[in-house]
Amino acid sequence: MDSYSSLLKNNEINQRDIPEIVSRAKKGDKNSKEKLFGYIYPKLYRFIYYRTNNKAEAQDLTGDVILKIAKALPRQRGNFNSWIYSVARNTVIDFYRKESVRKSKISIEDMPGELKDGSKDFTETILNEEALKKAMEFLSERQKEVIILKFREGYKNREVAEIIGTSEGAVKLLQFRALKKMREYFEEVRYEKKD
Amino acid sequence: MKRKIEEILDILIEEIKEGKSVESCLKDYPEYADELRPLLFFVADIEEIPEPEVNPAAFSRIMARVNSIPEQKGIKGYLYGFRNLLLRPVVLKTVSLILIFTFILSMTFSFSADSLPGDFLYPVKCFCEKTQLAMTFNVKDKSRLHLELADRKMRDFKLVFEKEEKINRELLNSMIDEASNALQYCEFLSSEECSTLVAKAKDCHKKQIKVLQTIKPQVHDTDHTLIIEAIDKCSLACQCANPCLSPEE
Repeated sequence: MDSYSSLLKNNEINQRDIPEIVSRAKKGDKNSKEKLFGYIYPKLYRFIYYRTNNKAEAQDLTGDVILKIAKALPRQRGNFNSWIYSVARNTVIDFYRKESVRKSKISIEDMPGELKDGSKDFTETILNEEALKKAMEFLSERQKEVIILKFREGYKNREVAEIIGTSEGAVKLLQFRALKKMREYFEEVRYEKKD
Repeated sequence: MKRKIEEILDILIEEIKEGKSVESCLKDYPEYADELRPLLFFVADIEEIPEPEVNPAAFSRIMARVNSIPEQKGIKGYLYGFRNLLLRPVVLKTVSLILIFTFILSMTFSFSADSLPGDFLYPVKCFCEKTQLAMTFNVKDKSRLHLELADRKMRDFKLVFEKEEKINRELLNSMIDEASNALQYCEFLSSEECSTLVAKAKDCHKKQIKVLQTIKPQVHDTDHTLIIEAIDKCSLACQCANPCLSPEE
């Protein structure tokens, strides 16, 4: 457990080393596999977390994605980042298709506690993880992916474009529209930035 | 050229990430300040949200499962991948649909085999026969198939006559034509094969004559001439059927 905890914390693997680690992991090197999965696990978890209902669901789905990646890794070709996110995307889609979970339209009652309470002064409201997650439910799948990859994972426009299979221009447009939509959502609930 | 607002926002987001304040970023773009200010404050807020925490226990459980996956190398690995591909819902559905379609198609073809002119499945039977001929590329097999079809047409002709007590012209013509068509491939066969084929074609025509003579007394006067003409045609085909002989012979 300790080794895994330290592995999770050790996210300082250089991006430039990833192709080499992937190549060694494909050949079955156990150490490289652990490094690689330690590196991608938090990324995939965050990617899935913002698209699911709760942490437990996100955790289970991330586990499924990691297993799929581990099984198919020796035969993987092409862009590794793009591939892992497409596996995650498809797994989430399959899960919701199977479960027939329909995301209900968000009403004011569904807002997180501090936003729901009309008596509160919204200027005091802090934008937190849950509120962001709620706001993201208004976005299209691609807008959601751009926000997660750009602002949560810190990818550059070019990398985001590669992962979601579009152009850099389209990424900028998706980003602009997504931010505007989320901002409007918070406007609606009279969100104001806390100074 | 005037820059698009999404491009300016992107430039400013990078500046915010580098640590610049919102107001200092907007100084260079005063015309967009009102529209971009709330978005940039929002971006700055998002940047401050801590990342959702990962559960190390869940990760260690997954890694234990990952390490228990047997290594799939070489052909075994590809077979494993192929099995996984087959088990994917979309592939499974497609393969099932193709199998169901093939099953229905083969059942329809087999049921159509006994159909007669006027039956619902008779066009399917004709289609099958034409396809079978088109898909047979060996001349020997093709000539054999023509003779088989001639036999089938003769059987159908008899059945239709027994059922409706009248001559089906289409079947009558096609049974004679099929037997004659078998001989058109003679030039591509050896003389021995050709002689066998000619003998079979003659036999076929003789059988046809026999059938026609059997039903001749039972046909209506209107069809009488038709039967006589058909018998003559068969007899002529029997006499002429000797394409293997050279002009000297």
